[in-house]
Amino acid sequence: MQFRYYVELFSPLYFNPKKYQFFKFDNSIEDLILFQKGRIQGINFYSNIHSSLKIPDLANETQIQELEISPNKNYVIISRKENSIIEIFFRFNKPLKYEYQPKKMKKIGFTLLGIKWLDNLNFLLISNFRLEHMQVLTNKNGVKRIKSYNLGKIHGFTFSFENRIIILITGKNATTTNAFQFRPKQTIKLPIFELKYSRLKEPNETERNYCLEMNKNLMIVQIYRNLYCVQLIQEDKKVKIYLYQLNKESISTCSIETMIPRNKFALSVVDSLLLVHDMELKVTMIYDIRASDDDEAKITSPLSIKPFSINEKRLIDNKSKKSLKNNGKSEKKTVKNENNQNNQKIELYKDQWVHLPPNFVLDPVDGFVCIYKLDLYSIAVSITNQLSRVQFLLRRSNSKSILIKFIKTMIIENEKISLLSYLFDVINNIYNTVSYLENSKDTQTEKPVITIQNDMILSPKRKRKIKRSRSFEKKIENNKNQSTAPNIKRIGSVFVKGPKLPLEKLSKLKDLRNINKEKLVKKTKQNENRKQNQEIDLDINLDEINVFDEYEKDKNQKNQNQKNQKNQKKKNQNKKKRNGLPKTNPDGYVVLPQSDFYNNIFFPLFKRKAVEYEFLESVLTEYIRSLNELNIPVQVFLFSFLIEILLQQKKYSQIYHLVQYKVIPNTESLALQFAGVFSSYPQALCLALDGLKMRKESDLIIQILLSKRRVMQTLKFIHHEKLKNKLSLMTIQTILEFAYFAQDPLIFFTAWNFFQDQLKDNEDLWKDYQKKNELLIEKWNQK
Amino acid sequence: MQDLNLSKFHSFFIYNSTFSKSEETETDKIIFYYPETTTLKEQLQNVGLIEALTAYSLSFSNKKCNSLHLEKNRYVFFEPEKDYWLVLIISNPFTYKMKGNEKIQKFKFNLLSDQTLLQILKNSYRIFYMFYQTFNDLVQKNSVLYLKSILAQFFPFYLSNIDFSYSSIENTVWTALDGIQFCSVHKNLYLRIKCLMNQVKSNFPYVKNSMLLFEKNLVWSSFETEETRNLYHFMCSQVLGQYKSTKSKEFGKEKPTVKLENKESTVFSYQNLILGIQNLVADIKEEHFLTGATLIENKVVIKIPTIFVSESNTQKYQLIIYKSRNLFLLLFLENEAPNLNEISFYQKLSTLIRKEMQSICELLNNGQDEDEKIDQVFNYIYFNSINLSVKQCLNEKRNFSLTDVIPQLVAVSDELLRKKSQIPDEIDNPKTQYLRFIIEREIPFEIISQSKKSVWIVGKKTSNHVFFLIFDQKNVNLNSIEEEMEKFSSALFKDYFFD
Repeated sequence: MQFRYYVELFSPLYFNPKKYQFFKFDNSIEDLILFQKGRIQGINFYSNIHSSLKIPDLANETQIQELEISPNKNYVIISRKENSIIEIFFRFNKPLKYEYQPKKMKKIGFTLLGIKWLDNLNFLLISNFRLEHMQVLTNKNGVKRIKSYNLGKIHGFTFSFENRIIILITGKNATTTNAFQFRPKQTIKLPIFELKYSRLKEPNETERNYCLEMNKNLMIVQIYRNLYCVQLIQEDKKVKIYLYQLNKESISTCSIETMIPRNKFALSVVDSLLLVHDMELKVTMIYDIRASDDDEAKITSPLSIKPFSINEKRLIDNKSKKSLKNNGKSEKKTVKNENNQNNQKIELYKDQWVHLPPNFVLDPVDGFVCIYKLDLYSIAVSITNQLSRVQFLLRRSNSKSILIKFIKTMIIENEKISLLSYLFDVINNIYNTVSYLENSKDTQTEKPVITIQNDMILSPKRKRKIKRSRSFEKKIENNKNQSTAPNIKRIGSVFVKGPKLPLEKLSKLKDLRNINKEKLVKKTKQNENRKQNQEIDLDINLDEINVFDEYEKDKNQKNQNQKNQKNQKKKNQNKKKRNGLPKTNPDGYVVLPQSDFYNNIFFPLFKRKAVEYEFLESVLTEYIRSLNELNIPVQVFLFSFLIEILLQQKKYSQIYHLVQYKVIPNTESLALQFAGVFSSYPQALCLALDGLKMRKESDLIIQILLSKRRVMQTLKFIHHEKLKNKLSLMTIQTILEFAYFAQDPLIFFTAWNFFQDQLKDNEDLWKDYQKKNELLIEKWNQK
Repeated sequence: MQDLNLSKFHSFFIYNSTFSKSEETETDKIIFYYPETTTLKEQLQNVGLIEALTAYSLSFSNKKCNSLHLEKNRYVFFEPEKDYWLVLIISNPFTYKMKGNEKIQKFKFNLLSDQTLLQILKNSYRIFYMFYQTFNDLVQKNSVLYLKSILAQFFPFYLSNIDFSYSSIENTVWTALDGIQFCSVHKNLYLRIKCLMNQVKSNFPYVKNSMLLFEKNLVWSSFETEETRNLYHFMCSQVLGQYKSTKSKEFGKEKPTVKLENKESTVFSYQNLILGIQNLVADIKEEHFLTGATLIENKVVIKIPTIFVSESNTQKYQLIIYKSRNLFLLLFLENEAPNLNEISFYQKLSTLIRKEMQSICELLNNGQDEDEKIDQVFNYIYFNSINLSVKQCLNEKRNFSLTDVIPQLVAVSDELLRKKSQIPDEIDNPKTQYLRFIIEREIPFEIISQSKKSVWIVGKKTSNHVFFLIFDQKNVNLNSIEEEMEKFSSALFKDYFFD
């Protein structure tokens, strides 16, 4: 097989695990947290922003069990092993200790299960007996309990920072769930649902281990814009995936049987695909929940992750910024040269690997954090059914270029028209949802058709179409509000942020990491953070974040930064404006607009003559048919292209029929195109003139007739349309010049005579033409 | 006019003067003469007359003359190939007049149109060419005798299918215009049809061209205009000549089938082909092949005619016609395409197209009724010379009878179309511009005529369009007709560029 890997570890962020007393990857804020001698360092995975906080009190600390940093990095909460006190460290204030264990509970064995920040001030304390919603009081240097939830024994929990949802595993058998969503001003309790199966605590097992085990295979992820709680359990000697779709009012369940027989497994979600890793057999299988059961794309064959090696030199020494710079450079080099001697092959599927939702992997032994990246091309190639393949790619978020490549290949290989036709319908159905955007652009560039028939028939249709697309959008929003999960993120209709940063963006950011242009990245990230956080907590002060990172720098530098930041912000805003809506529909499908089809598929094939024109014409006709049937206004360039292909094949009568049946709209540009092909297809001139007449473009008609040197026809047209008195002196002069150019005294005299009334006021001109007339007659007589 | 005896076919013959080298072999120049019963003397007389006329007319013009008007008969002659002349003689319509006690025939010698009759000749040659190619080819490849036998087989049957009575617009003005009646189709449906044709082509690469007719209306053709016209003419005049639309009550009733002669004969017979297809067209079955794998008396017979679509296209095609209710699909396959003699080919083809054809047919049937309601205000006939589209729109509540109007219409059209070929082609040459202008002035491009029964007919011609407008208002003058013309133009043709 040519492609052996579907998944690879991507964008590693390195650290030296031996150097630190405590380290973890916080998938909420996407930071790698490193703790060493009272200094907490955070490195953002995507932007590589370094942040640090020095807490002298923790200089000799070795007992850290939990370390949670608030999103704005102003507060750190620490819990220690076998200690019922959490300590909260303030950036600008004295630390605070908080006894979370009620005195009454001391004998029962109260265990802290976790601490999770909701925003910059609120956090959750999860213990095996209750869930507490706490808030940091900045002014009073204290904490306040907002609410406490007593839900009986809590065995474990899973939390999604993105959606602020916590699911607690409760009940006698650890199968009941209690889920809450924390919104800025309210907390919503989601419906209780039963987990399919949960194992009981083994006699020798400690409470903490048991709870950790409970958490391990439960995660909240977003798949196809729906929120799911995913559970992986072993059932009948096989691992089964249970998906609980979290809705406001109900929970729906579905399950997928995997082919993994072992107990050791892990789960990641990339681009709405479920990656189930068999840690023992060291293979990964990819499941697509949208594919039907008989679809080839439902599951991929089990393959290992692509071998991965690291360069030892690249290990980050966080102490000096210089070395970081070097690291960046060296990383670049090693990417280029993988056979470098310093490369160290990493053992894949290590037992110690920590999988964090949605697709992070932390290797605590070799010291790196990665994300899983799919090789969509390899997966697509493995799907032999063309239709399944395209549908699979359409469901992916970054598959446009691959999709285009496959469609192109299909056309080059003269795939059956019926299949292409079906594919176009599928693709255009998706495109239909956002096509009205292009509509509005169309109307700017092309004037609406003004025939009687078209005015009567087309324009209400267009109106209806636009109305329909708008109502469709409303429908989408309604759907979102009703059926999908209570997802805070989903506020701005189609402007939903995808699953983290798209990979392209990520790789760009990685480059930036290499160059170490921290400031720039910091600012963009801050902007992003701000936009994200605004939805949750409007109290966040952006300057605080700024101060945090540039703490020791002088004020001038700070001002400069702020200015830069503002500029950057403006640029970002402009960028957003320029890009318009992202080209993904609410289902997360790839949208292939007409311009993509033309620029990346049809035109290159035409230019390279990669396929026979006749076949290309068939394909293009299918595409236009598909657009038409979905009431998507077809862009003029496609018609222009179709005409060109037909001209190349000398299928003139078909061009005429397309106009006759009003398939080709009456636009100025197409009329001019027809006028231009007069030499090879003389009747095209009639099409052009008819079209322009319909559009009442008299000036253009005169210009075209004159360009063909048809002076008499021009005069007849002017006479018939009663335009004589409306013409400018300039136009009259041009017509007379053309009449003179014909060198026929009869034509010139007719034209001159025709415009007598208009010329009489201008004596010089009159005389000039009189002379020309005499000259022509003289010449004629000499002949 | 009620007692008018309509024009009748008199005779038709083909001659080639070069075949006779002496007076003794004079009869050799007559290649075909119909009716056969005509005496040899009369045959020779008629041939001699035309020979003399064509030769004599050359002394006045570089173009040979093409018609002769006599009191009793009208002669039209056409030379499709060098030295081969096709001549048609039609007896003029007449009425009886009493002179004393004697009943005397009074001939109306100006009621026939040269344009129409010439077109009939041209059409007959076109159809002959489709199946046999040129006369000269047949002589070169075989012999004059062979040509004679082919002509004797083809023309009697062909002529028997032509109506010379001059009683309908189709037989007169339409024939002269030689156009195509298009079916009005919504753009989405047109694209759908185009796509279906592409699919057929992609699935069966031997299919080179296709054409689709809805009753006698053209919906789709992948051929260029001239070829399309030939094929359209063949389908309408020969195959669907007797075909009644679905709307007529007779549809669905099984018609008595015509027994074919020489059924087992291996030699191609035009008569058998057309009669065979006509029988199948009348068949009650909704979907089946008319040529290709056909079911005759519960036996599958595979017969595929070979045709040449036009004189400019030397490609030889095998024609398969598929019928789905009142929709006719013509597929033109590369000559000697394999698998054509296997039933599986037709089964596959039928599976691919059946459903889509049914659905297209349904849509066309529904769309037609709506379409007919438009344009009912004016009575007109319209012809577009670019796509050869002819359109006839006659109000059902009109106050005139068509039989009254036809002679007048024929006269107007004949005059209007007479000099159509005289406009110089080099219109882009500035030097011919004025000449063209003058010629256009000379050629009538607008004729207004009034009949005794106060029916006004306006015939108008521009370089690409011809239309005839019929007004049935009484007591109107030329000015009001002019106004009506303006109204008509602005209502229906304001989007056309007329020069």
